[in-house]
Amino acid sequence: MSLTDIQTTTNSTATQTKTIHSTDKDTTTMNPADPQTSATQSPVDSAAIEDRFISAFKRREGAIAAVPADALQSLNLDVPTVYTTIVGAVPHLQSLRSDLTKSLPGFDLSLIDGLVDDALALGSAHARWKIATEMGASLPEMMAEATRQRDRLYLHAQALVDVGLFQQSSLDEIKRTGSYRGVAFEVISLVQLFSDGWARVSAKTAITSADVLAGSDAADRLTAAVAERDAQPKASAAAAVTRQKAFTLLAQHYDRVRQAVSFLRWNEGDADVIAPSLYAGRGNGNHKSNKAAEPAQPGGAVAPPASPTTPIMPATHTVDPKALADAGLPGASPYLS
Amino acid sequence: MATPTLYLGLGRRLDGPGTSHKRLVPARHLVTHGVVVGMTGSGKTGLLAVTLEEALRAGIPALVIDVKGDLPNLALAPPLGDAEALAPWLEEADGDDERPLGDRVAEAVGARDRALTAWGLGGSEVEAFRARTRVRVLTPGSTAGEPLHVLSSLERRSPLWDVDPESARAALSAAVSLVLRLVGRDPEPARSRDHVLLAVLAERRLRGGQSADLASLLADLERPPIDELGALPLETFLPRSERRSLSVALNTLLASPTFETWRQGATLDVGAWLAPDAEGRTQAVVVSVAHLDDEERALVLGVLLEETLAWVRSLPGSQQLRALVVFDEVYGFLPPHPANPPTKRPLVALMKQARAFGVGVVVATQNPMDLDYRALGNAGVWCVGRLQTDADRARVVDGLTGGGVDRQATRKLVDTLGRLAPRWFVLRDAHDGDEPGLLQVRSTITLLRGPMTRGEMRRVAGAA
Repeated sequence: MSLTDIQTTTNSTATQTKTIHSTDKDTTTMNPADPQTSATQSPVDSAAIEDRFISAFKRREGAIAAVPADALQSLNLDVPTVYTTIVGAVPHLQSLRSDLTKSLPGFDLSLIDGLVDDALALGSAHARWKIATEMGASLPEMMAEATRQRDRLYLHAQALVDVGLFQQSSLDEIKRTGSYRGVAFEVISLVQLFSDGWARVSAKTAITSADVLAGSDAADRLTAAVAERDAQPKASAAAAVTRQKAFTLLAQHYDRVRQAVSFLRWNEGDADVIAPSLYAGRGNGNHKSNKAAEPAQPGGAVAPPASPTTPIMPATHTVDPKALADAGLPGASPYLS
Repeated sequence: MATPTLYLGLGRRLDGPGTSHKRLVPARHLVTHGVVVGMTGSGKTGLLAVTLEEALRAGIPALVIDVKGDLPNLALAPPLGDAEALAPWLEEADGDDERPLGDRVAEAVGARDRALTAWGLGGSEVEAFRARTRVRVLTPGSTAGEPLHVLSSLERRSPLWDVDPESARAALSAAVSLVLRLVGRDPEPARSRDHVLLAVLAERRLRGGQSADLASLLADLERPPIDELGALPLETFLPRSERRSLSVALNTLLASPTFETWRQGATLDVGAWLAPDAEGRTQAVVVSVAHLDDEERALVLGVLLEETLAWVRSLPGSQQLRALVVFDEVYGFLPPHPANPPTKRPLVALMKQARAFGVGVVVATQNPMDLDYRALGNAGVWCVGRLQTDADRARVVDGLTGGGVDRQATRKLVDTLGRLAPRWFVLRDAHDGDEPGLLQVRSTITLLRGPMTRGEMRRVAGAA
C-alpha cells in the first residue's frame, strides 16, 4: 500500500464527512483530497495531499519516537481502514465537545483535535514501511527472466558439446538449480563459456552476441536485487518499529477518547456508533461475548443479549461447541465466539 | 381477512442494544420474492424450512425445488414427545456415542420438545401442522419418491395451447430439450436442428388437438407431414439419413426400461399440485433432483420451471401471496450473463412477473456471485447469513442496504456478515422500509436432518 491508497480512501471518507458535518474545516472544506474540491482544481494537487501525511508525521515524530518499546501494541489491522475509521469518527466526536467539557471537566479535548494528525502520521509511517518491505518484490520476475536466459544458453551450449565445440565438462557445473544465487551464477558461467569461445562457435550457433549480453544483464540484475534484499531487513525493521509506534500512539489516544464517549453516552448505548472500535470484527481474545443471554420466550419481553454493537471476537472465528449447542434456542448470541 | 404472517424467529436491531422481538413477516411481502444467502452451515436450509412451514400453516401452498436432498425432510413432522415416530429418522450414532438407541431417542425427543416449546410452538401447533398440510416428494427419473412424468407437456396435451400458446411453446421446448439430452444429442433450442424439427412436429400435433407422444413423433420423422422448414426444403434442413438417425435414437429411448421412469407417475400439472388436496389440506410438493446428474437436473428443472411459469401466467392478478416457489441451492441454475442454462429464462421471468399473480419465489445459495443481477434486483426480502469472503459480502450489501446506507454502516454490515453464528441472518424487508435487522431463525417443526437417501424417500412415500 502507498500513500495513493490512503488518498483514495481519504477521498471517499472526506465526501461522507462533508455530508455529516459540513462546518468542520479540518476534515472537509480544507481537505485537498475532496473530489468535489479537486474537480475545480485541476490537476489534483497530489503533492499537497502527500504533504499532509508527511507534515503530520513530522509534527508527531517526537511523540512517536517517545513511545516506549514495552508499550508497543501489535498492528494486525488494515491501516487504511484504521485511518478511515478515525477520520469518520472525528466529526461526531467534535460535536460532543461541550458535553464532554460539562461531564468530564478533566478530559483533554486536544486528544480529539489531534486524532486526525495521529492517523495521518500512521499513514505516512505505514507508507514508508511498505516501500521498505517491497524492495524485493520484483525478484521473482528477475528470477524468471534469468532462468529463461540460462535454459536457452544451456540448450545451445549442449548442442555445441554434441558437435565437439564445447567440452562436456564445461556444462557439468551447470546444475540448473532453483535458487536466486544459483541461477545467477549459472547464467554468468554460461555467458563466460560463450564469451571465451565466441570466435569458435559464433558461426555455428543460433545464439547471438545480443543473447549473450542479455544473459549477462539478467544475471547482473538478479545478483544486485538479491544483494539489496539481503540488506533490506535492517531498513524494513526500522520502518516497522516506527509504524508500530505510530499505531500505538494513535490507539492510546483513541482509546482514551472512546472511554470518555462510553461514559458520556452510557445510557444512549451508542458509543460504538460514534467512536467505533478499531478492532471491530477482529477480536482481542476477550470472551465476554460468549455469555449468551438467558433463553427467553419469543413472544414476550426478551432479555438484552450480549450487545451486537460491541463485538469482541477472536480473529480466527473458531466455533464454541457449547455456543453451537445453544444456537437453536432463543436468545443465543448472534456471533461466533 | 387478515393478512397471514410468517413467524420466522426472533428479530433484533442490527445497531445498538435492544430487546429481541418476535419477527413476523407478512406473507404478502414475499410476492416480491426472497433471496437467502449464506455459507455452508449458516442455516439456509433451516430458514427455508421455517419459511415453508409458516407458509403451509398460513394455508399457502408451495412448490419446492430440492437439489441437495434436504427438503424432503419437510414430510417428517412427528408429534411432540413421540419417540416411536422419531426413532426411525434419528441419525446414526457417531463412533464415540455408545449409548443404547432408546437413550438417544429419548434425548432427541426431549431436545426437540424443549426447543419448540421455547419458541412458543407446542403440541397443538405441531398437531395442527400435521393435520392441515400434505407434503409430497416427487423424484423425476426415479421411483424413490413419487415418479414424475416430466414429458407430460409433450405427451399430454395442455389446455394452454388454446389460451396461451407462447407459454405452452416454452414448456414444449424444454421437454424436447430433455428428450434430446436423454438420447445424447444437442438439446440447445437455438442451435440444434433436431430440436427445431421435433418442436415443430410436436407443436403441429398439439395445436391440432392431438398429443405428441414419442411414438407419434417417430412416425412423423419417418413420413414428415411437412415439406419445408423455415425457408428451406425439409430435405435440405435435415436430410432423410439424419432424420432416420434421430428416429432410431428415439426408438431406442422408447424401448429402454430406464426411460419408462421418466414417463410415468404424476402429470406435470403445477396448478393441481398447489390446490388443496381431497381432504382440504394445503400442499407442498418437493421436486427432488438430487439423484440426477448436473445436465439432467438443469433440463428437468427447465421443464418444471417452464410449466410453473405457464401456470403463473394463467392466474388472475393478486396482491396476496397465493403460492410460494422455493429453490434451495440455486447455484448454477440462475447464473449471470452469458451462461444460460434452461432454468435461467423461466426463473428470471418468474422473478420479474410472478409478483403480479401473487406467486413469490425464494432462492437460496451459498454463492451470491453466481446469481443473475436481474434476479437479485427483483428481490424484496433478503436474508444473509455468514459469508466468508469479502467479495461475497460486498455482492450482497447493496441488496441488504438498498444502496442507501452510509459508508460506516456499510462497513459495519460487511463486518457483521463475516461473524454471524449459525441460524442468524441479517434480514432486510424492503416493504418495511426498515434498516436491516438481525434474525435468529426458530427451530423447525419438521425434522431438519441431513439429505434424504432414496431408501428413506421410499419410506416417506410408503407412509404417505
